Amino acid sequence: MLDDFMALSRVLTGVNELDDDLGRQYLSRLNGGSFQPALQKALDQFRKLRKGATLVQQVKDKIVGADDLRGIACQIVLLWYTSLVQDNLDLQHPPPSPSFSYGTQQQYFSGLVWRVIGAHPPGLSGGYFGHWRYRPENEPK
Amino acid sequence: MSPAKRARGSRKSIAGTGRKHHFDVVIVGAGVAGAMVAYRLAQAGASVVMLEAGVRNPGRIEMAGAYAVAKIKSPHSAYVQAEADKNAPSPDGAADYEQAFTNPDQLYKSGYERRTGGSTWHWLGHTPRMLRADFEMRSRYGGASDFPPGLVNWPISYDDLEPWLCEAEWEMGVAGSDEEWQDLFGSHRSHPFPMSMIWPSYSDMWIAGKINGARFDGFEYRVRSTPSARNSSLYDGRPPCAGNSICVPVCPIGAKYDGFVHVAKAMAHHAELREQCVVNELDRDKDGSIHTVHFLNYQGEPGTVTGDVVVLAANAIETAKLLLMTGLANTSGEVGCNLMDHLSKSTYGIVPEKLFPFRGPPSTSGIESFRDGEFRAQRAGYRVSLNNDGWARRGTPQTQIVDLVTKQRLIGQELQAALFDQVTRQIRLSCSVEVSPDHNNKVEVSPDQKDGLNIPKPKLTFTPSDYSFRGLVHATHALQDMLRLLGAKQSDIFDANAADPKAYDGAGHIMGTCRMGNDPATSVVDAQCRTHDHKNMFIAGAAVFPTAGSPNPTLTLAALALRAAKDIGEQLGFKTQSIAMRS
Repeated sequence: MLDDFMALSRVLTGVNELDDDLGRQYLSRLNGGSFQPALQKALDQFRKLRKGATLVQQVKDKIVGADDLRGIACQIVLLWYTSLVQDNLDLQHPPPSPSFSYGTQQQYFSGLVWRVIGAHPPGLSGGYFGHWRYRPENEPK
Repeated sequence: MSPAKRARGSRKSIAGTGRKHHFDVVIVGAGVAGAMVAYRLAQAGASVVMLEAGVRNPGRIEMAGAYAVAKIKSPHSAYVQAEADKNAPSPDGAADYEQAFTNPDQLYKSGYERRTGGSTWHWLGHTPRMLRADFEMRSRYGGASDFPPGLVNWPISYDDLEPWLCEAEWEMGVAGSDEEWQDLFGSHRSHPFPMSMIWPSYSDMWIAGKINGARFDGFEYRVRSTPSARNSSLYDGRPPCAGNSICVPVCPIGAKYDGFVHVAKAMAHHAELREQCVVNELDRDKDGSIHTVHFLNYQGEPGTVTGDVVVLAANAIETAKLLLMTGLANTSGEVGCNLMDHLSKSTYGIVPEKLFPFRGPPSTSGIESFRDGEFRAQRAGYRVSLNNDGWARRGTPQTQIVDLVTKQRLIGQELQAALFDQVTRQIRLSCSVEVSPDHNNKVEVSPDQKDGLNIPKPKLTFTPSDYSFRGLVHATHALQDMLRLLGAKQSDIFDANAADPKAYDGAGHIMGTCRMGNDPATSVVDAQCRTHDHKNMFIAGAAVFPTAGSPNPTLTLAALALRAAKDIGEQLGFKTQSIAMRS
């Protein structure tokens, strides 16, 4: 199950170097409670797809494009990018105020979104005095 | 021990505890104001005790970690501690207060931290000075019938306080640009900043290039770096800022000043710190002096200390509450009145250029052009801040990710490209508007709500004046004008409260409630922060501000605290030392 979750995560995030240990933790957060049926269905669907050059488009069509799987696809991206899950994600009736839950400190500081935007996790810059004056050294190309 | 007391041999100890009972100075509250008074007097040889209602923090890394996983990223999120939150609660916003109101949208919205080091743990660190005119509001701008009656003159001038502002800048370690801040609106600087400025962000410099020299309603935009008590180089044993971006709620490396710096310095000079001591009673002697301070620990056990001088430094809300509970210092009837904050508001935009937010201190530059002028006869002045936190306050990046995946169905490289394109062009501009003092905006003792020690909580009433709201409306228009100058399309400009021009947020700047003045009939303390009613009791902190101006208050309150320490020392026979100013 972890292998499939990691493979699907790589497609959804667009990042190939994902940490297996974090993946195990994220899988555990989703593989229980209300997320479990949709996660299982998404992974079942993912296993049916032909691996190859068109995999991203197939995931877009068959998982992100499916009304009952789009939400869990979003949660997987949210986890890897921010360590959050949205507790009240409802695509049919979007809540007026989204509510998110965090995981562990390790997960928070491992969020991928910060490098996607050329920044750093809040609280962990790893930078020198004044680095904010310049374009980021990790600016995506 | 003061020389006079030493001669009488009056030092006592609590039997069996070995803990000293009598001190030259008893200070209630170990935040920045109390800590600075404690430090200066302990350094001069006085025996000092700080009674702190809160607890000491764990390590900075633990606090940054607590913030990282907190569901609500509020200022208090790094400081949750069950026992302290029960016995010495720290309000984290409007919902944590009992409030009397006529309009549910017009409330007091700023909280404070009851903790060793106080609210400076989660301040932004900005230290712009008050202006010369801020001390002279009535004589400069009063006269019109609708000029707020609360906008009085201070009993001291900018020139009186200026040397102490320098002292405070050196004690805290302020980084700033001498060139940009010399003689701002006629407010001179007699000494340079102790450190060169915090570097402006990439975003600040782009904005300056676009708007400097342009005008709005006759006011010229000019971007200046904001002076900050945040190290730009190694200073006072603390490292330079590394731009970790979470000054609020905690600097993970101690580059930003907080009150614990001076708590530790005071303790190094043998001042005593007693935590978890919630002061609930002060005894008035027959001669009107105050020597005996009673407190409860978190187990509800009572304790007492006495002092030749008592200093209340528990922030503007808690100090006023304590005085109202004890019925002291209130011949004027002004204790608790004139509660102030700044009205804060943010406007958000998407600009054409990538500015790379979410890096560096949350704000590094601002615009001071709107702070003073003849217009203050009719409406409030304000500061503008340029911010480096994108649309974090609107839920970015998480809400953006949800939208992009669920609405645009983007994943993988397409999702990354969209996030990079959108988030890096986000900008937030904000204002901080002067609140005019109003006798009816006040702290009272709640008749109903009590904390875990059965001590009453404060009850607040706060309705900003039309004078302040006129300033807020002007500021909102200026922020929108700036975003248009920066190239934001009208459809990409968001005012979170566009439907209500009077909507505001709190700024975390709790001021007033024990105003300073020369007339005991209309003020609580004199120009030295000594209560009119009790010659051996002083108040340190922003509680004594007669008016607020538009700058962040911490530098001013620190300067007043250092100045009061000198007067307390003279009253007791101790000579406090000033920092040797380097030229």
